[in-house]
Amino acid sequence: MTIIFNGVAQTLTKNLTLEQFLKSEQITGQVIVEYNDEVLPSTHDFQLITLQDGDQINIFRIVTGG
Amino acid sequence: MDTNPYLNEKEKQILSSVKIGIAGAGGLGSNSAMHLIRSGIINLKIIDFDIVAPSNLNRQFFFKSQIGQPKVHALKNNLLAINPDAHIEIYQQKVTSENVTSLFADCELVIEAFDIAECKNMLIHSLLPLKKIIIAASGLAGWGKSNLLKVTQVGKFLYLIGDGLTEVGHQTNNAPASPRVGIVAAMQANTAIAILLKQEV
Repeated sequence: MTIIFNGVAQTLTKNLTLEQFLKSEQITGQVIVEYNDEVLPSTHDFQLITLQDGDQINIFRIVTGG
Repeated sequence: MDTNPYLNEKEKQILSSVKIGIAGAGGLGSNSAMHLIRSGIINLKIIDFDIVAPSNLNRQFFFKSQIGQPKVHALKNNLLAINPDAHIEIYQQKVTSENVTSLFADCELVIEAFDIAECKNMLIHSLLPLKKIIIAASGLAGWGKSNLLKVTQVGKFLYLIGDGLTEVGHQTNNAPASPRVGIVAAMQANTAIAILLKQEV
């Protein structure tokens, strides 16, 4: 199964939930998660999303400053 | 009063009929508000709890004589000095997850102009379900690297501006400074106007 993570194709050898995938990529802290062109609400349970072939995931970091 | 004589009648009508919300009146909010008023926006709603401090003058649209004043009052006066006919609604209070949706309910578009990452994220995630355009900033500390500052559309309603990396801290190489904060604030205003006039972002 191939997904696109931050614009780069990545092959997954086993089924993963979005939660497991983000953990494996060490994504923590203040981020915006865009999943297949939609921003996921921060209250969304990422364990309920099982990644599918062709899924697109983009992570945007929100950092302090203004 | 017309602050922008370069607009045609239709553009003037669009920009004068919309209300833009600005969450925070610091480096991003004060400067983006200035650009919006100069561009022909007339209706702004600005919310910030803070007062003008000496350390703000390195990048924020305030003057030495305004130190100690609530930022929203000082900013309103500065914006009215550009356009006395502008309608500047101000609220000196904290924006929280409890009040954010009602505070910005009457705004067509919201500029996220907070400082702290958690507050930025709270505003974005609270307002996205309302399907309002949100123009937020992330990554603007330090000097140089102007070409890393960019606009990214995320989903349908969110635009993120900045380099997405450089976090403001206390070291000299990641302090908030007028040029880079100002570029991002100008990009927020520029993006807002482009969206309203249906031009390329």
